[in-house]
Amino acid sequence: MVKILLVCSAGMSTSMLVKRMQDAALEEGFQAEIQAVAESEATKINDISILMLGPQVRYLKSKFKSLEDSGIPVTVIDTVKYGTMNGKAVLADAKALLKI
Amino acid sequence: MNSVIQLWDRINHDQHELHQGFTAMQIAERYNLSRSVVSRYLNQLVIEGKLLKGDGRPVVFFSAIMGSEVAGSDSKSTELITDTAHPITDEFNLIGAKGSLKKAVKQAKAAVLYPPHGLHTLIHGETGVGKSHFAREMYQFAIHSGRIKKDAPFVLLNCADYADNPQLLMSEIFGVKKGAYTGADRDREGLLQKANQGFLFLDEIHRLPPQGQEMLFTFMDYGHFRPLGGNTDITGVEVQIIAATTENPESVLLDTFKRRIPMMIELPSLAQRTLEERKQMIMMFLKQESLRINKPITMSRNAFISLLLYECRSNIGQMRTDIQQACAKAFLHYVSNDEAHIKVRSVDLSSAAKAGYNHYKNQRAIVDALLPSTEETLYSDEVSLTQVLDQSTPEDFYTSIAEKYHVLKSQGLDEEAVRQIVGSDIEKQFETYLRSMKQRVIEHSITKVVGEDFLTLTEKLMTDASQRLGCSYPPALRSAFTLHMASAIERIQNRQPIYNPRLNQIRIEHTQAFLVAMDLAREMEIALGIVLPIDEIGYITMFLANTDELNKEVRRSTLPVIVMMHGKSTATSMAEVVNELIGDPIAVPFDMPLSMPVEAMYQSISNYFLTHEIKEALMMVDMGSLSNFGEMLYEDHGFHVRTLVQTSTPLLLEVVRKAASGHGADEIVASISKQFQTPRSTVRSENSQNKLMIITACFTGEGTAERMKRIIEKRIAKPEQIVVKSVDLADRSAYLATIEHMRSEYQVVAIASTINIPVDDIPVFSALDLLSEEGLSRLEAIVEKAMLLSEISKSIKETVDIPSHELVGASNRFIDAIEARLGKDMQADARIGFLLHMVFYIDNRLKGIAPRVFDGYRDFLLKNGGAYDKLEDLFESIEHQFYITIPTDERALLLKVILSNLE
Repeated sequence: MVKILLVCSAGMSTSMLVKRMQDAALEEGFQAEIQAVAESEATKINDISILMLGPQVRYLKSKFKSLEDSGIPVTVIDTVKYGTMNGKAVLADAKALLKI
Repeated sequence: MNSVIQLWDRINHDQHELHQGFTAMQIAERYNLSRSVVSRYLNQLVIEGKLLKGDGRPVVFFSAIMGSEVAGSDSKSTELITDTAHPITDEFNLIGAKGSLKKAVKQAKAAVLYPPHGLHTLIHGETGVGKSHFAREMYQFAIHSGRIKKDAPFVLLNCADYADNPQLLMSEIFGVKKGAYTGADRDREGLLQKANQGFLFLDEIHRLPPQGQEMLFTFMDYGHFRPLGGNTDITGVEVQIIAATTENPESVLLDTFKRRIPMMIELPSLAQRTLEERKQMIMMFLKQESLRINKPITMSRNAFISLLLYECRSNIGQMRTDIQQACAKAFLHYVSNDEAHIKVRSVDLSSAAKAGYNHYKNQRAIVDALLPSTEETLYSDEVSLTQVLDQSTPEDFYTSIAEKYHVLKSQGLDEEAVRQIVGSDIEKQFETYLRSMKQRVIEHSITKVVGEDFLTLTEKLMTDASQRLGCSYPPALRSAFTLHMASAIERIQNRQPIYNPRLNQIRIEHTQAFLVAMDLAREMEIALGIVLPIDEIGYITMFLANTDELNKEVRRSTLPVIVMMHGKSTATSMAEVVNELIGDPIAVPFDMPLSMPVEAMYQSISNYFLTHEIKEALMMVDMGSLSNFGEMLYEDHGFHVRTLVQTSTPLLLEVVRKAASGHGADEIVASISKQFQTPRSTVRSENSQNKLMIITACFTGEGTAERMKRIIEKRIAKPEQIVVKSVDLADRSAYLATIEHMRSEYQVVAIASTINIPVDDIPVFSALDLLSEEGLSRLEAIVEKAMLLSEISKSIKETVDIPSHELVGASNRFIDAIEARLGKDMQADARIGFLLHMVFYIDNRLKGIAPRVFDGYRDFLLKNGGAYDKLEDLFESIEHQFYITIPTDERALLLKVILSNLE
């Protein structure tokens, strides 16, 4: 099972994006577990396929260097897609990075 | 008068000590007199011709009688020298002799006075820096200092004249024996011999062939030379040679000269001279022209500034030519228009010279200090016209223009044709001077649209107007005026009518400006050969009257403040209190008993507006349907009404206070919104925020506004997402009302207008902005951002509880304010992320969802307390706006995200 984790500063803005991504995944029949956490909770991460950061917490990217080194993609969500809460497009980006 | 004679006697008595010249101060000290008295007497003596006056500061006076008797060993002459063009002085009669030519003059004096016969000298400098003139000055100095006799020869030869025939050139200099070469049919004396006991000036010495150079050096070193074809040396010739060259200082040739000629004098280019000196030169050339045509010449300030600042490739020579040419053109106007005097205007200048005005803005301070006169006409010299000067242009030049003009006129040609023919003649006359001068038009974006001549004209007109009306016009307004006039003239030429519905009002409101506008129009009519209708003059008046200085005078009589409240007497009692406190019955109450139908209320309000001829007002209402009245009044009558809701006594008091001190409705609403945190003064529909609009405006709504509209439409990438609308701003109130009306349908993201009339916080672009890449990309950025924000609010519309555009708008303003406070911007994409964060944060608070806890906030605040303090009230304003509370630890959390994402 693909596990997508989104991080933003308080998990507030991303929760809606997560919902839209879930809707999109359902529509596509794509099996995935999509979650959002706040920055403060993002320290104890394991067992995920991809980590996606909200644009406002892009500065966290360097913190997840070890994750990236272990082959898990860490990416910052595209601003426009994020801004327009375009779940379908963000999901597509995730899939592309996971080469699905 | 007696005292003047006494002083003259004393000066004469002491002439041996005073022969070097003296200042008023020295005389005052010497004879223990007051300096101002002495100064007056000395000037009196100058008028009587007993004294001569130097050019420098402090002014040095010389006795006209002492003359060349002084200091000389050879000279026995005691004759009075009457050449007034060269006053007897041991100073150089050169502009800048004590300024940027100081070193050169010092060297020149040394070269002349060096015993026994002076030093041969090489003058080096660019074309037109005044090398020949300088050489002549050296010669004059040599006479006055007594080194050479008064009648000593000054012989000039320009080697370039013989560039094709080096044999001939050498024979000219050194002389020739019969049969030396074909055509040398008799013995001829060279110029060296003719210049014996005097000066030989060899211009463009680099054109002298190497053989000739060698002969010249031999003469310099040993004092003898041999004529061409001769077999004996000629000795005993004493000549001071002055050579001049424009040769590149790096060249081998110049190196040779430098090595062999003992004195080398470098003359600075015009660009290296001071502006003060350049000013003096312009004055001097004007004076020379004035003497030549026996009439005073004046020059407009703008033309003077252009001459002062333009890039003059061929230096002083070119500047003189340009001034002569401009004077010639001005003379033509003078003859053909029967003008009272000859006046050089910017239009008379060559395009290269005109371009000088473009540098004014960068050097305004120094130029204004140089030309302190605010008078339009700067130079006006009523010199006595007996002196004859420098003959570098034919004396009858102007006369020939005048004659030609009259001849052509009498042949029945029309004015325009005559002018063209005669005008082209002037050009031809100057062709020789101008051939080496490439005219470079400095590109100025506005000239691309209207042309340089036209810009010069309108700039001048605006300057005239500002002086006559005693107010200043900012560059943006000047450009707007230029563009407006270009459109107007286009209309006239296309025979399209110009109609100004406000004409009569304008005449009454701005009598002064109207009179000036009439004159400007006449000047334009003359310059452009068109007829401006009176309606257009009305528009010109509007431009002229568009300054704060003038607007204050005609400031609409106090803005009416209409108070409308539900209840039998709520409005009346509130208005009473406030009016009494302010001491002026400004608040007009309308009570609306609950029994009263809304239509009846609207009827009485609209009657009140009509009977009192109110076109702009501020409406203070408590709630409900009353808040729509403003919009209805616009729909029905076009009145500009701003509405404030939830009126309270303190709010009304503040509004009335501002109205009493002359503020307009928009200003009041803007300042009130800040102070009282009123969320919105006008309720805008949610729909409106998703349609974007840019408004372009000019007085007619047709000329410049249309042009700007086209420019914007061409630039904006997605024209289907944004409407560009051109409107007229002939009537300020109507204009504001139109914008207000548009805003109920659209989100107005920017205004491009010929006049800067601020509307809330909508960015206003000038016409000039739209002509620059910088301005256009700024506009583009604003549009793109607005589009993105509008997309964002569309996409979250369903999930938030209150209208999404309000959340997005408020968050956006919140971030704008933060960035302004911190003086730093957030990274563009992080900004969008944070904006969404704010939106959902506020929404969650409204939904009552518990926020997260930020445990480390105390430590964070300890570190970042400064930033927190700066932004505290911005958090509070969000709290007020949405009726939520943001606890300290959450503020800290928000602040942390902000600070982490600053650029």
